[in-house]
Amino acid sequence: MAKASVHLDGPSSLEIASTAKSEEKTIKAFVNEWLLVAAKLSKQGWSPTKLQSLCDSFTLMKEMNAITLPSDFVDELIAREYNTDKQGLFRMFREMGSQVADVVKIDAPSIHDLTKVANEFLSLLPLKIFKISTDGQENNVEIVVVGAGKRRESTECAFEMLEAFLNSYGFSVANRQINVGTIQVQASRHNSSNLPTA
Amino acid sequence: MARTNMSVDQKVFDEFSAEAQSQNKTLFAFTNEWLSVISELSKDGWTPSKIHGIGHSISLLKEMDVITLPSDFVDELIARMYRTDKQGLLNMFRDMGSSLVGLLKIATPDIDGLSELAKEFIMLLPVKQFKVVKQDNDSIEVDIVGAGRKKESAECTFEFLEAILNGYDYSVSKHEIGVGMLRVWAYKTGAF
Repeated sequence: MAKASVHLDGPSSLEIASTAKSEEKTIKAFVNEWLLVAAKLSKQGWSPTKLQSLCDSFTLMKEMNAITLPSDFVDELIAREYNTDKQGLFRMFREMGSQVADVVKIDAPSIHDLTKVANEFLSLLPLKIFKISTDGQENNVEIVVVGAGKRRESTECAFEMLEAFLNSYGFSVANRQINVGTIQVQASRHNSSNLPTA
Repeated sequence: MARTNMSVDQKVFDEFSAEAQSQNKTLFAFTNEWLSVISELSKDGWTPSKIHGIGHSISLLKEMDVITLPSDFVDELIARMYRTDKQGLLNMFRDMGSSLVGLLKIATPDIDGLSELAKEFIMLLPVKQFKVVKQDNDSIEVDIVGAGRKKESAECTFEFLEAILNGYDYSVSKHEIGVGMLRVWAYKTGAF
């Protein structure tokens, strides 16, 4: 087969050579395989950064032993259980929020890092927007979520999960606005004297 | 900055450099961008086929809104509903299977491709194994390991799977359900 060359900077070529060696492949075989996949992904609109984010979110999913389901289906499951045992359901979502926070904190140790994690997960969640704004010292945060379910029951459950999440990060919810699919929350750090203004 | 040459096949070079050009990037910049991420991914255990698989599964998922949840949580939600409305729950899973058949058939028009497709989706599910084995021209055996950690979840998975098999014109003749596992035998409808 005809050959061509690609040029790499020094550090990148060392990394590639080292990785190829650890996989017992020649550099050429390694680069051929990967560049072919990269070309295909790039044609589909993927960038290296987006791909890295996606792979990070998959790794997180594996750590959580997660399952991906159609969100309409989950909305229906939630709505049915809401009618049977609303408080029990809220408890489940709060517990989930705390457990997921423990895993997420590994990659997102501060509240501000949550946006990055949420953006990585966006393709695996029905969220359209997940925005966190903090004040300078990160004592107060505002979180806006759009796409938190298509039914009010789902959005209420998403709030319970979010509140537990925030509690795990040391924040208490001071104000909330919940409508179907959207949540707006203002929270302050536990024991902070800087409460959000109305 | 020192540069190193790396030899690649012409075909790979042509595809890759065409992409660099379409994005108005120099080949040098484009190559370095991709290979620096690839090196990290490879160190984390990612392979070209796994990456290709998740890229394909994500493009299918874009056709619908999905949500990712811890599977223990889903097991618990299923178990609760099973206690109060078992038939309603099983019907929901059956309906979900029926509604997904159309999308699956775009990816794989016949049942032979389901095993391969499942390999791409396995990363989105807590499933350890999904295997479709042809017994003869008209019958198959499907084995799933990781169909939930409770028997209720495995029963729901069976309803879902049966609906999908029906969508591919297969009827279930026999099935075995255990905690986390499912084995189904099915034949082509109209074959017997």
